[in-house]
Amino acid sequence: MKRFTPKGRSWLLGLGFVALFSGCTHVQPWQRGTLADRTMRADRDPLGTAASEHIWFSREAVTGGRGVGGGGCGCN
Amino acid sequence: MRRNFSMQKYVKRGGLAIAVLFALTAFAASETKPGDKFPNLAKMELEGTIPDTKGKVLMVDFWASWCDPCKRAFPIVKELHEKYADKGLVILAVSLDENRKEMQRFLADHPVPFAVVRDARETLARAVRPPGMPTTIFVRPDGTIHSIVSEAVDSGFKEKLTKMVEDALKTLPPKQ
Repeated sequence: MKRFTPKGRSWLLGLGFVALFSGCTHVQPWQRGTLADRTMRADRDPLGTAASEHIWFSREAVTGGRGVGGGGCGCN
Repeated sequence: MRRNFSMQKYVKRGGLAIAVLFALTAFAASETKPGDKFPNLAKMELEGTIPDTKGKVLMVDFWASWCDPCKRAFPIVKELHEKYADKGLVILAVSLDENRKEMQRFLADHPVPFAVVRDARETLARAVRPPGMPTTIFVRPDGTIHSIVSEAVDSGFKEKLTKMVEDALKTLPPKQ
């Protein structure tokens, strides 16, 4: 099997990086409808959240500091 | 002779490739700024009726029914319409809802007196690239952008928007 030259390997690696990173995309502010959905919230179930909080408080003797307000829309 | 190929070279060239890629992305994602020409709305394939903006200041409000701050801003926009419509301000709310029914449902519950269109194909959004939701753009009668407001809808939002409206209305040609 023919081996790649060092230069060829370097190019291959570079192209690999480009191919991998081009898969990343920036979700535009106006495209965040799905992220803003209630189901995307970590605390969408108040009862479940309260139970988790209670367990957390009982085990760790700490409370609060859970997530942030709002959904995932990243609105202003 | 076989050249010595070190890991350092891999890292250097890979890093360069990433830097070029990010630079290209940054270039592609440049936002509209004051002084730029606002796109021709007639060519933007918007769903709905575009109001006549000739000789008036256009206020374009980008919103969506899933965006809570946008919904909080709506009563303020409504007030501005009532106060400044007869002074030369035309308000156009551009919905960026993917789902038309969700937009219609929201508008049925919260009727508005100004024009609302839907940018279903994101044509206008891609041309303007609003930096956040909501974003309000004021367009002078000559079609250039006067100012852009894309901030949190908090206690000072109404005052800020009102000031922008009044500043933008100063660009209207004097009445004969």
